[in-house]
Amino acid sequence: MSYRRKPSLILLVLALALIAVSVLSLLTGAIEVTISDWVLGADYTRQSVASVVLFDIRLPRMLLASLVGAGLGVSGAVIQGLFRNPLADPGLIGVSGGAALGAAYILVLGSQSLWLATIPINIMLPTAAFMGGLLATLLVMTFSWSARAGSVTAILLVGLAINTMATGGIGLLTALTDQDSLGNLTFWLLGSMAGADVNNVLIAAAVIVPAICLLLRDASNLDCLLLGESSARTLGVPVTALKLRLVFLSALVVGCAVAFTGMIGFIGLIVPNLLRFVVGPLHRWLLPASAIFGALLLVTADLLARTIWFPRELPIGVLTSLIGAPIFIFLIAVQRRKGLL
Amino acid sequence: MKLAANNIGLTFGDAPILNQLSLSLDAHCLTMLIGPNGSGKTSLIRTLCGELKPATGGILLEGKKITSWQPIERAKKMAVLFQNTPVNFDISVEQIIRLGRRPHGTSEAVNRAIIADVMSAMDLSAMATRSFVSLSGGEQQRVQIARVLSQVWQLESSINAVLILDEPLAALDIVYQYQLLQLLHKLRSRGLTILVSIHDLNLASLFADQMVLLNKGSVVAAGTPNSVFTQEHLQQVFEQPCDIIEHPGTGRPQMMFSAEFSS
Repeated sequence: MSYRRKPSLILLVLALALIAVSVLSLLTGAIEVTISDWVLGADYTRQSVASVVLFDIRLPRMLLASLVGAGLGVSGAVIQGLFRNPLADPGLIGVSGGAALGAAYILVLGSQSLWLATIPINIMLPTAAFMGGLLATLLVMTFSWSARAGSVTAILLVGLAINTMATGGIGLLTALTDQDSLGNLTFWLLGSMAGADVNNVLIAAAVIVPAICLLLRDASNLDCLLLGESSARTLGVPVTALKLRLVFLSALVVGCAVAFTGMIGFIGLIVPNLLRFVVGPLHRWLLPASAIFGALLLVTADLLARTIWFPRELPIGVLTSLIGAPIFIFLIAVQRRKGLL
Repeated sequence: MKLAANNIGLTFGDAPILNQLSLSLDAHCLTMLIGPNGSGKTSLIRTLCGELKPATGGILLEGKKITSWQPIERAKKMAVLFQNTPVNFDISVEQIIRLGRRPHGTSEAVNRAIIADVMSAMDLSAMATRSFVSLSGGEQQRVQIARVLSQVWQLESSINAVLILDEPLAALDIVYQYQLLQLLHKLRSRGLTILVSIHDLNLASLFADQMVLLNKGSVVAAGTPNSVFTQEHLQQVFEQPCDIIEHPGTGRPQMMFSAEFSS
């Protein structure tokens, strides 16, 4: 079986690929960047145009893509384990939609309320997105757990409803608000890395990195959850506390990702599912591999999004959706063949 | 290890599921739980392991309330196999069985030896790397049994733990049914406390140290197979005419239900 390949080796290969693509991403673009710009960039008195491009534009962008990709990959794996369903995804079940609606709503409200305007937008936005994502997750949980455990239909239908509501809500907000702060509908629905700056990256790192570390500690608990909640409890897993923790942390990660880059679909779905073919279903390997592969995929997607149609930039979600949706269909076919769907 | 239920009452909405039920499971004892569908066997098992909270009474594991045990400490002492354990992910047989070792934190060498033992006991050694979802229903059931066995298995001779199995024989062919019951019989000689719910009255009679006959959420009879399998009890619970004969080897009662067909 495929999962007898050494998972540690796969992790290493993924990490090397991530480093390679990250360097490539820093070197690629309209302005040529050489190694000397890397060195000179550290010295502000001798900064060249290229080093400004490198340190103020490309580096934050690459780092944000890595953080968001890692976050979406891990939260995808966690949400699938939590719902005991390999076809769950923060986008499909409505977590991202809820987060985007939360962020868009607070942007409109924030411009009308004096005290909200005193909070830095960099903090307010992820907080609102987190709350929106958390609400959506709790809503999906309420329906899916009252129905048969892990029922695909209930989860996906509730997710569909939340996503439709989010799309409508954001559309309404963008139509009613004639200010630039909300950005455009495309940003929220298809995502973009264009807003990356040093502050965003720092906040995203401060939220996503610790959240991923905390989620990694629950790897063995998530393995037990594969057997169902009752059996997990007989294996000594405090299931209720675990569920709350996982929901909270994954909503935090997804909320932060959506606040800065919009809704980028399918990363959370395809990353863990493709990795299960090579590292197996155990979360000790799956979670770190999802972080690295998610980052790799999103940095690559961002590199392609800003280069293949240069000088135009594709919304990054266009790429992830065009690549992700066929893989999703392939995964459904695999699940059917195995009798899991 | 001793597991006791004292006067437990359980209701679902207004409907009573278990009525003031008391039960004691002891070390070195294999208890078989029998009763018709809906008599409360599964509810009793889910209450015993703390999954369902009884409205009255309590469950004591080794004299301590089941809900006061640290989850991980309890998992070291008590393994439970529920009736339906669907798995939606592609996971190997060995990986599932290994989950049973999770509470223990024993060394890899010990875990490997125990997993090898239970796989050979459940005749799974050749399937270690097979995908669980590709197996037949009976094979999946054997894997799940192996998982709970690995949770209570000891490499040395005596076992101080509780094992509860809800209808483990379902989906097993007659050879594996016998093999499992013989294995449980051996494990209880080493000290394991075992409760098994079962539908085959004759197999239950052959292997049980203690029988508990349940009907409508109450214990109708409890004790040795000879004291539980009487015309009176069987008629009261199953409402089917039946002859009781003596098993030639063991002297245990065996039930022959009537061959009359209603037209």
